[in-house]
Amino acid sequence: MSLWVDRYRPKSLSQLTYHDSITQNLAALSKSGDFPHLLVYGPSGAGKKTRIYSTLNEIFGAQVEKLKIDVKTFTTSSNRKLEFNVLSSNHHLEITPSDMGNNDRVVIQDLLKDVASTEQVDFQNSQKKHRFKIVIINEADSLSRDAQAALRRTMEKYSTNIRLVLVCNTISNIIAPIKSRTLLVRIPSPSVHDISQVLLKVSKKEGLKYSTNNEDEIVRFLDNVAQHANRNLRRALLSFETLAMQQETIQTGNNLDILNLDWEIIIKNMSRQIKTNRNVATLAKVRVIFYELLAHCIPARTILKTLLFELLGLFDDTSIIEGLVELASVFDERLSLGLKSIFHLEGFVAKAMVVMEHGS
Amino acid sequence: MNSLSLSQSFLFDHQKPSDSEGFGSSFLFASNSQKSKDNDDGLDLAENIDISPASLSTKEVKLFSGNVISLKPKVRNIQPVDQEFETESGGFMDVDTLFSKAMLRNKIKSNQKELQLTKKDNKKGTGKGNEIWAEKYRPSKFIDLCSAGNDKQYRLVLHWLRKWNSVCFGDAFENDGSVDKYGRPLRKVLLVHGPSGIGKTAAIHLMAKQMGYEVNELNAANSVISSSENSDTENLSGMLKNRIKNAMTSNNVTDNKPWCLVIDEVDSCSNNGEIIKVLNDLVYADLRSQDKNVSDDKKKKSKSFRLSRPIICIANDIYANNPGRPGRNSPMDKLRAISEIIQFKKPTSSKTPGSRGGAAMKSVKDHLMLVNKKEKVGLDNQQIGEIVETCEGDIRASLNHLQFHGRKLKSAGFLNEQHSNGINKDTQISWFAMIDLLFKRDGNLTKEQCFQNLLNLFLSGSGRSTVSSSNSHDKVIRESFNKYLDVVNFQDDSLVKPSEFSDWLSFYDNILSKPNDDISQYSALVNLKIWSLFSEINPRKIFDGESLVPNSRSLDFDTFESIKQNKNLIKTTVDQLPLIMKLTIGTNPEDYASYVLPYFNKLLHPDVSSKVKSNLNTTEQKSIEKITALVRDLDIKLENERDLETGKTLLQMTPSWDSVIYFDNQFTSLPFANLITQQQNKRQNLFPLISSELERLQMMRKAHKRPVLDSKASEEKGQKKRIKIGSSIEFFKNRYEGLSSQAENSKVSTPSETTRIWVKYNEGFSNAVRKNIGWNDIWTR
Repeated sequence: MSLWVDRYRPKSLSQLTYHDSITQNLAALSKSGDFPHLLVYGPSGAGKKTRIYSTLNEIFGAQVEKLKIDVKTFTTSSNRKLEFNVLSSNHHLEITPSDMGNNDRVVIQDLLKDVASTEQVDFQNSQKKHRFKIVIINEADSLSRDAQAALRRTMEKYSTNIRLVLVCNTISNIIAPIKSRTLLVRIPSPSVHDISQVLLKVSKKEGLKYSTNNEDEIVRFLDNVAQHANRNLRRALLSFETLAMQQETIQTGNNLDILNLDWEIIIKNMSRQIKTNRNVATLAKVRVIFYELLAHCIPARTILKTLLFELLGLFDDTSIIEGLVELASVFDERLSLGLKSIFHLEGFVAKAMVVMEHGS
Repeated sequence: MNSLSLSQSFLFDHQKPSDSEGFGSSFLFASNSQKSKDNDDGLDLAENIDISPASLSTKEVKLFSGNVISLKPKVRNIQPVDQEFETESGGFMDVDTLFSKAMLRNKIKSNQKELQLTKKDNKKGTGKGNEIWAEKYRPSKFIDLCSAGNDKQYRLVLHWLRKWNSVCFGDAFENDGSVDKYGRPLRKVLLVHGPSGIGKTAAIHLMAKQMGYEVNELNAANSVISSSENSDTENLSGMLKNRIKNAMTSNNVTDNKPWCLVIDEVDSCSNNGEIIKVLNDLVYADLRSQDKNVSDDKKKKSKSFRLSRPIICIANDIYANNPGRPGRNSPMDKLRAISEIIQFKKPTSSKTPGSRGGAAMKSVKDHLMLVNKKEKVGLDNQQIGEIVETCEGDIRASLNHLQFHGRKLKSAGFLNEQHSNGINKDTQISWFAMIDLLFKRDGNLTKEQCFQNLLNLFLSGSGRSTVSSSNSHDKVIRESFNKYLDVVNFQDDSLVKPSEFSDWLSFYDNILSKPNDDISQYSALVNLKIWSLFSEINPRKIFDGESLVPNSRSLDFDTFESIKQNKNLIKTTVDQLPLIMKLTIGTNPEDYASYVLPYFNKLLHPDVSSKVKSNLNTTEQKSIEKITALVRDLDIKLENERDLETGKTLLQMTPSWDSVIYFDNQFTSLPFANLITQQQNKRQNLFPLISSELERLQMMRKAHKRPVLDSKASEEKGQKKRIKIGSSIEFFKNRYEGLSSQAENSKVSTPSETTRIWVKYNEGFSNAVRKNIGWNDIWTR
């Protein structure tokens, strides 16, 4: 509990600060006693998991926070033993399918069957009649088609005993039958204002000192921090903590340099280079950089997105901006379909250079 | 006269007086037997027995003189020298004759040796075709070893091996922090990995020998044999353990060299789980014994196990997962944790700049050239170069290639002109020849004709097989991707062609990601497009150092490797996180790479003014406390590491995220080296602070625990006391006797202690048998 992200995480629905309408819906849901299958989606750092756990907390009480890790073993069709870690409490379990690679179909099927076949017996609050267990599936968009197809039947068959909560960033990879069987809950990124309010609260609780006492100025500064974190609350909290760590009193002046991440700086510098030197030599340089970024596990689509926004910042001409955005969307699709990210990243830069050439 | 005729008759009797030696011996023998016959019958008998233990038929011969003697068939294996020696054994020996005999004997010996040698050579000569060159030219001396850019790695291995000297050979050692108290390296297992065919095994074997060890090899083949013989699986790991243990403790029987255990192909052994488990057990047993020896050095030293021989594991892929067990439980993970890791690298292409790559490639080529000369294949330097390129620096494959294609190369011509002219269409075009083909245009033909030729090549000719095998086609595309920028750069430096090419690349990528699609048969179109976009009549040769992208060919592979490495790093970090943190931050590795770990790193490295806690101001103290909590939560270890190259001591946090966080290129805000030194400077201050804080926390926790423990202990003590006092009836008896004896001594006085009896009574027993007992009840018993 040393990090602020941990310490100030809301535990119950009443503690949630933003997206009030969603919170109300969830509260209503938890009161009704029954619970549909959920598909919760939204960008990372928006508070999906926090909301799910708050809801579970509302339904089952604080017991859901008592987590443990189980190691489950499965046998695949080719008689191989699979070991797989499951995060669980008495009332729910949480799995991440990317851990299991190609065998996600088998694991999901076996696991759900296993869970479903043992009925939840709960003597203590039997009057509440929660005879089901919650299964949270993280990164549901990385489930293979097979696994998703296996899910759709299981969801209906065992619906008396288990409820699924699928968590993902986008629902474009989720097949339609699953979408129709679940209640879609979109959690958008919190607005800049939302985040700065959260940060303000945290800073008050931590007793942080600012260089000014002007409330407006502080809020403006926190807005900057939120903006800098791309409206990702988790990132905003981490970066804010870093900031507070470096300085005794937080200077509300314009010094967010310390929060800049190396790879973002690199992409920024790269975008300038692309704008000024539109030739093959730059393309070659850019390729080397791309390789390095990929080697550091920065996802290719994030690179593309960041690069696009950096480039957009450098141009005023709407026709160029239009062209760049169109290109980026084309290459975003190629990136998500293909395997060789480097081809597409370089292709985007080449085409972007051509667009700039024609526009200016 | 007599003896001569005798020998002649003897010769006639024996139909096969084959060689001169035989003649000599028979002659000697004959005269000898004659002599002995004349002299002494007993000797003759003895000789008979001596020479021919098996009973031989004798022959009666009548001589001219009228004497009748019996002849024995000659025994051919008698050496004449021995014979002479025998005859004179009775008296004193002449030194001169003795000397001459000795000389003769030596000469015969040496002649025999020579004879054997020539025979062997002949054999080798005839069996030449049967031996694979890769085996034949397996290096046998350190000097023969082809460096292939791995000189540094060789040095590291030797360095590591040398540290074992003190244990295996009893050398003195200096404890400079890189060895433990027995003078062994800190990590007892060496894990060497790298792509296949670059001489890992050969190098390790050689170096172990060089350092005076005998290699005891365990590989995929011989480690499983034991398991098939003995299907008892429970016994198996025990057997393995015994085997490894034996190798660990004994020396080779024949020459008394210590063993060096080499476990080849660890990653692909079917029972690598067991092998690694055994290794793991041994290493930890060793650690335990070390700890024990620290505490009581004298006691039971013999029982505790100590690793005393180097273990070297060789693998291709140290991140290999057992297919059935994804993620954290792969045995290779365990192995990596306990071993020193050295990566052998493939020699990079000669077409890329950089002295390292070029020199490495050259060493491989020189090696092949040597073989080429010895075997009289007669290839020139360029062709050798092509072979190495085809095999991508794999030395073993190159040798095989040289052996089996070498002659053909020479006769049929390997260069692509022949192919493009339509000759020799049955063979497959190697992928790099294809590249040349794609970037070249024949000036004598029109563009349409050229295109037609190329199309034919792909549809029906030799190009088809190259394209249809996805592996080689992938190489073609990749290499074209590496090359096209340079080509465009010299052509017109416009970006139209690259951008058009990107569409085709995505088409290819599309095919690649759906391998079973109908569309895959059109993959050759990409090649045609490459040709139409980039081909030239006189393609410029791109030399080392001229390419726009340095090391373009190895870049892709290196990136792939480091992605694997970093992903693994992130995974281990995430696994170590406390549960609650996992919940809040999630487990998405991309999040960790892009912002969580960088911010963690920043959090862990604040500016601190001093190394001493009392000198810090309150915020700094607070931040130190926070860092310490974080360090504990994340299970980070603070370590000193010594860089072998520079000899500097580096402060390291393990797991180290540097490879994920820091970038090294021209677009970063600060150069890489600066970042690292900055980090080191901060750590100089931070490390003592954190460790002292950790200690303080530990003390506090202990102090917090102790009162609880103390009170518990005292409580227990009290209970015990009371139990002792009144646990059973015996007590009462004792009391009674004591009392009665006291009564006898007429000192009837019950001390105040006796009241305790009643307290005890209520305590230990259940109420079910509760019964009031009075003084009288006791006394009346």
